[in-house]
Amino acid sequence: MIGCLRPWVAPLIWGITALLIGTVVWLSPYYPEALWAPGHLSRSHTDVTSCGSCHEPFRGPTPQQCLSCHSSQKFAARSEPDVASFHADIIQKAQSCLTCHVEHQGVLAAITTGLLNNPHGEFIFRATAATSCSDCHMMESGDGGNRMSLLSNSMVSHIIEEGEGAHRIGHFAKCLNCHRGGQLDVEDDDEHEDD
Amino acid sequence: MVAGVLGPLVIFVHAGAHFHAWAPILALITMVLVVVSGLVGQALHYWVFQLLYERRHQQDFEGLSEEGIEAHLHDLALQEKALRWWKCLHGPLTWSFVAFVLLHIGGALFFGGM
Repeated sequence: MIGCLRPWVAPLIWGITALLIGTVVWLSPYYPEALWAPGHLSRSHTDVTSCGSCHEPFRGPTPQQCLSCHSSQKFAARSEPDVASFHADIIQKAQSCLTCHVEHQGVLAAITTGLLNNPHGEFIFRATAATSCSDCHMMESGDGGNRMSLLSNSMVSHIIEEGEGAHRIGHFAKCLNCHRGGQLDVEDDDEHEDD
Repeated sequence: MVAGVLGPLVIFVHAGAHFHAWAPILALITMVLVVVSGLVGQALHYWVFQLLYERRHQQDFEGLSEEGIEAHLHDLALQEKALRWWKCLHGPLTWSFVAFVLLHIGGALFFGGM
């Protein structure tokens, strides 16, 4: 059996390991996002400064934590009636917010997925100054589940006009395909010719 | 050997394109170090022992004395030194990897729930 030639190597590696782990633990309260978060928070949650605002230790992000900010009363006061009633129903049934919402996907990523997928990502809110899906969409419930239909209002008209032909029904859902990196300006290339 | 290569590939799938937080990145870096170290060690084992075995038997067959064989194998013994260096690195690196993985799992359970 061949042994180690330099016995000091192992303590050195273990020392570096212990130092790094100690540093991570020590810095965790000061830089939790850099050390632990799988990605940046979305545009909607940039004001959240503490992991504990959404995460409970060893329980994860719980509906109770979400409700501390997004209560039924807040929905009723600040949202369109259909959005408020939809969420009031979810809250009453004590369903998980994570069924439809995800976080830490990046500043411009969609935080609504699953049943009510937002194909635009958070970019649409930054680009249009819309504050809610219902600024442009009507939420409809049917046999096939919930779906969003497009409203005919000034905001929707403005977005369509700004697209200079590229923003048409069925062609402008995935904003970041053309507005790469969240840029408002779009470079002309062959990819847009068939839009 | 197969598990040592396929396992890390599965871990890369698990990581996806998310290289944001330092705690899991440290675990990933040490995993890469352990994999590279493992592949180097595997190659060294094969190479050094094969050469030593063949050369010693050849010289024994030729009737060289034990001292003569040792002298001829001096260069190969230097290569064996590389193996002993590797021995110093691979074990501690593996335990370092285990420690970072436990840290990563602990963080995932703390923030993500059990």
